[in-house]
Amino acid sequence: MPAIIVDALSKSYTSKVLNNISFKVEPGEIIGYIGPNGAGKSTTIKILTGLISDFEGEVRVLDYDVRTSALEVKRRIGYIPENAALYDNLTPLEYLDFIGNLYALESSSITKKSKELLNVFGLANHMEDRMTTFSKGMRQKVLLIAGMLHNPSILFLDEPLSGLDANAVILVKEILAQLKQAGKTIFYSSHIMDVVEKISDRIMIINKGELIANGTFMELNEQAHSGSLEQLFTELTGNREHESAAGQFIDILKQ
Amino acid sequence: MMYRILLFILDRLGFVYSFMGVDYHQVRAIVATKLLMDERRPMLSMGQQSNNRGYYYALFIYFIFGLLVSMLIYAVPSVLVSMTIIFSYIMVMVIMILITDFSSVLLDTSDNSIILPRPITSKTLLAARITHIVLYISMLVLSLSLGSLVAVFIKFNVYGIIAFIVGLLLSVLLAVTLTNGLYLLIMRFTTEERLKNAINYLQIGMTILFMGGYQLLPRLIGTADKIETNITFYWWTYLIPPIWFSAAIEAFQTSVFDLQHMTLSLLAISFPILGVFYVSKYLAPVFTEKIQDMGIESRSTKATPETNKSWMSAFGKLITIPGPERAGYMLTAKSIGRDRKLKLKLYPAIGYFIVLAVILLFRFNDEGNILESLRAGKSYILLIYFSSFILYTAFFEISYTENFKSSWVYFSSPIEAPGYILTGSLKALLVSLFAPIYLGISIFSWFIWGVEVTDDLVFGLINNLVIVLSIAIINKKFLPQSLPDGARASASSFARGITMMLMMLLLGLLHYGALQISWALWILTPLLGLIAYYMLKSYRSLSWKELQTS
Repeated sequence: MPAIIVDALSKSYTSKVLNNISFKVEPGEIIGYIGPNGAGKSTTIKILTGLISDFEGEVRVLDYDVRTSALEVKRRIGYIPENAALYDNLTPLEYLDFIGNLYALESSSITKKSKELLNVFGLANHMEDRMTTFSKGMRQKVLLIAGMLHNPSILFLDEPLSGLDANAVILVKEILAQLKQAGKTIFYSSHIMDVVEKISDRIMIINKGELIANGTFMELNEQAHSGSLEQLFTELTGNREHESAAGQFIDILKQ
Repeated sequence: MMYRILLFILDRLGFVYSFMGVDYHQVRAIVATKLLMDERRPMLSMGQQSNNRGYYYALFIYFIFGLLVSMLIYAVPSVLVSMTIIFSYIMVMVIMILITDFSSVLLDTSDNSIILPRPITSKTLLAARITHIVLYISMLVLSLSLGSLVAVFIKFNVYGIIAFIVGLLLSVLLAVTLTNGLYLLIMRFTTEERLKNAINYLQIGMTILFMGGYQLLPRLIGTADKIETNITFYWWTYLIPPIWFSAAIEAFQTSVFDLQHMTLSLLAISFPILGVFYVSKYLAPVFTEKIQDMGIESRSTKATPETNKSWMSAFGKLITIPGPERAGYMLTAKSIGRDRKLKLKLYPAIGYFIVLAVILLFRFNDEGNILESLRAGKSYILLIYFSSFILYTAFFEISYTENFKSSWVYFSSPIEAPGYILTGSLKALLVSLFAPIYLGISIFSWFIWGVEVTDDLVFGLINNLVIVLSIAIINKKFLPQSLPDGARASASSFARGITMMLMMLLLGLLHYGALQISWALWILTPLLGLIAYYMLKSYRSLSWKELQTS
């Protein structure tokens, strides 16, 4: 049974955001979901995580219909949104306790788990500091722990690497790889192409609400003969304006 | 608008800068930008969060208060007394405003990264900074003292007028020096975080002062004839700066140059000058250095660890169900203790309650023994029901935060009944904010009226619960910390206010009526308790559909 089944998914606000998207994700896969800004990445993830229930088509996560059993889905998945905010007046321990309670986890096990996880992430010395002073990387670590505290079988991450320093990117990459080893399914969107290229089992490219590519990096590369994911991406999304914009920029400066 | 006028004046003085070897073009650019930012900065001392016109509004309020205070010049015959009050007002205000509103400017480290990398000499930057500060303080002092200036021009002779103006300048100089010293003192001994906390508490004090001032100042003016006609001198009188300046002015106004007046005048002149010297020579370098470190220091200095074993968390575990209710309790309880902006909104409400209580309790007691007449009355009923105001304000405010985006977790987690989060949050509010206040009211009541009023206090507590629950149930419901700070729906807050007033009046009158019948409370207390219980249950069973999200 696939972990995620999306069949003919469409979603429109005032204009069409997602247009007839279909795909399947097998358990244990790491999926990189990429596309330009406004392509519909976040909307897709919000539908898959049960946050938006108003859409057309069929979406099943872990064999639950996300429209009718959103709570069951939420219980079994982890979600970390783009630029995720957290209540930074709290300490990491307090925040994790708060999240644990929202998932109705048992209090003593939350504390024990949180402490150990924070320790693994190198935050042991900051467990009882307020997060107002935390760097973006430290916050992202806390968010990652918060998203996995209830041991979900699928993890959804929206731009998990944005704003992280090089070390944190390496760490997150490593964690994703380890989670895959543990049999977790990971579905994430990102802009950082070379990371996506390296750690994804499968890459999906979305542009203007349509799924325009779906396959391993090798497969996609064979179609386009472009060498790197960045070039492939530019080719597929048909965005050739970068060069002329850059040229204009220089011209204006010279005036 | 105002800054254009200031810039116009500054432009006339441009040659002075060029003469001193400073690039006036750059100074103007920096000062203009900073003045513009001042205008747009919300005035924290006014308890405002986001209002573009905050600056002028604040200046206007300072002017009105200054005008009220300046009435003393007409009302009080003694120059020394009226001037002391006026100078106290001006100096205290300058210090407090500098600390609360201007601190963000003084402690701003963005200059380091925005201006320093540009081709600018440090001399020019310093000139721009000083110009900005001088302009800011001048505007402030002008609005504070305009009323008094006019009064002085009407009432005083030439010597008095000159002495007042010189005294004004010197007193402001002293106030600025003192502020600077205060900052350095705080910064020397504590961390940046503590400094921010200290400023936060000063802001709270400032807001209460203003709220109370609205109530108390007119009354004070009304009793101006009762103010002592002269100040009796003790040794410590020489330690109060406003008295120095007023003595100097009195000396010139009334041509009394005795030893006492001369000593005080000497203090008035020497201290500001010594202060400026000391600050510029010894403190300013340290200050700039400290500020330079601030941005960097913020993380490396280890914050004091938060203790999880506070009585509040422990108590919370007793009165909440594990799960969403406990999460709501925890979040609200912690933020009441920590969120500076929230504190800035909650604590003034408490201060205002105390001011209001004092006015209400002692209003009828102009003569005779205050305690005796208090005992004879039943004003504890007023205390009990006026305390609902605090609960009402706080209940409203806990939904708002700068950090509202963090509320995504409520929606991504599997919560069936969000009502539990709301009851948890309400419980936290009752325990961490309302309980201490109600305890204070109880102790005060026991002290004045004796333990007989205990049953009234219990009944009143239950009624307060009913009041806050009816506000909660009847009006729109929001999750704690889920709404952006600025966006307040005035229509809904009106409805909320009406609910609150009606319930308060109704239950207050019921309570007052019940006092006439000896056994009434024994029936009403369990009855209202039952009502509160069912209201809590209904509030708890709230569904997602009934909840408003931003």
